[in-house]
Amino acid sequence: MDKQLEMMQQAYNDIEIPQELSAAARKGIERGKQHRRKNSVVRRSLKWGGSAAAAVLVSFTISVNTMPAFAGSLEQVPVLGKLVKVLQFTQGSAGGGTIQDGVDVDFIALKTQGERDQLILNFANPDEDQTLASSYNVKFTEYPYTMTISVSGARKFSAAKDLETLKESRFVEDAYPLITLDDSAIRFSVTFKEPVAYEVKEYKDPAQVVITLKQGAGDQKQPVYSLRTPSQPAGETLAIAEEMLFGVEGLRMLKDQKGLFLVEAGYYPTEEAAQEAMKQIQTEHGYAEPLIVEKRMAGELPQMISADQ
Amino acid sequence: MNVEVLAERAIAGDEDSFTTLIQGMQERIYRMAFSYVRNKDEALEIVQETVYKAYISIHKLQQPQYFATWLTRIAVNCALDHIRKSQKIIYMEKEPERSYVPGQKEEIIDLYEALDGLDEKSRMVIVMRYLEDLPLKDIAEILEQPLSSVKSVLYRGLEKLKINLEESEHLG
Repeated sequence: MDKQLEMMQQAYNDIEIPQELSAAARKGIERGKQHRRKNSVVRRSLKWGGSAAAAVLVSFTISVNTMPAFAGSLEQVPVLGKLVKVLQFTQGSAGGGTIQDGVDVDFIALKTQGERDQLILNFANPDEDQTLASSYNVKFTEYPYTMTISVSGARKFSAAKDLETLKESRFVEDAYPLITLDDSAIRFSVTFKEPVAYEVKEYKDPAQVVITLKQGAGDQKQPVYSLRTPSQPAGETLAIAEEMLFGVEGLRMLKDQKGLFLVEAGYYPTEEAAQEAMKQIQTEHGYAEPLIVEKRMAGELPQMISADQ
Repeated sequence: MNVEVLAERAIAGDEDSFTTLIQGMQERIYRMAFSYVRNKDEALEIVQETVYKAYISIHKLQQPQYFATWLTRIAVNCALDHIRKSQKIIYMEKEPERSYVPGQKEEIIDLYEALDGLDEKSRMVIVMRYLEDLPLKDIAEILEQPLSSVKSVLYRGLEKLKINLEESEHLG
């Protein structure tokens, strides 16, 4: 047996390496390069040239904060199961849940308790008992004050109808679904009228994510210069624009004052910084579609700017 | 420079490091591909496809120390894809060759005849274990399967191989 294997090994090692091998490998690399260029979806983070851009991120870190010492909220909400965790936010973003598929973001309930409002996300799975929340991410941003929630492994968004009810909250200005090309994820955004303090807890049995909001401090007074696409309806073009800009720091999709949508590729403290970032995105990221710099205040919704303006 | 450092740089987008890594691995990929398709042009095609796929997804590789494993996995999948696409052609070519030249003694035929008798999985495991000399642990990583099932596939393959090799001896 060993001898047979030895013979096989010998034959294997005798396989002649053709001269064209290196050329074939090089061709593979070339094709890879072309692929990147063509798609212009360079999925590597932008190498920011100067320190200017880096400074932006520092000076505009989220000022809304998580609520300290928030015990006791647990028993105030009767429907809840067991606490899985309290989310720790870094730069306004945090997530949890477990990876699943076929989940339905079933319904969202709004509860008001004194100073606080709670948004309760419920998950359901038609195939099995939904005891754990599906993998999700919650992100808070400013200009305007926004919370974006994305749930992966979700094929259905029955709760879309409940977004209207969220507007009954004293904090909520608007709530709207976001288009995504990923058919196994759902996303929606909630715009707040003013800065909010927030706390997010995840529960199991049943699977729920509870977002508690109360009035926050630290209203930003300075304007920012938003680098964004023109306004457009929530369609494939919009989703593709977001996909093309993937990797840009501070990327998000927003609804404007007239109900159209735009993709924002970050915002900056000065117009010059925004212009510079635009150049960088166009050259290094290879984004060829038009971008606009828009001045915006903290609580202000983006303006409706059409492509031909 | 060691592979891990190169892989780290390649993941960060350094093209030269990526090229160096590929140069170190291209013969292995070619041999493996060749043992599947037994045709120079097709094997080269598989190499090209593997490098292409690796290039466009290198940023997704999280642990640089697994570069070789990761690349081999891509190569295995490319080879399998290739075989699936041209399955009919291979089958037609293979049959007459076998019946017309039974038990040919040349080593090279032995290798392929032996490998031919195996199912896809055992063939892959045998090639990687005995011909590429990869540790079983790595093979399990490449195939994304538990070590125990890789072992049983290997034993099954060896068992079958023995029978096949003996048979061809009888015929000769």
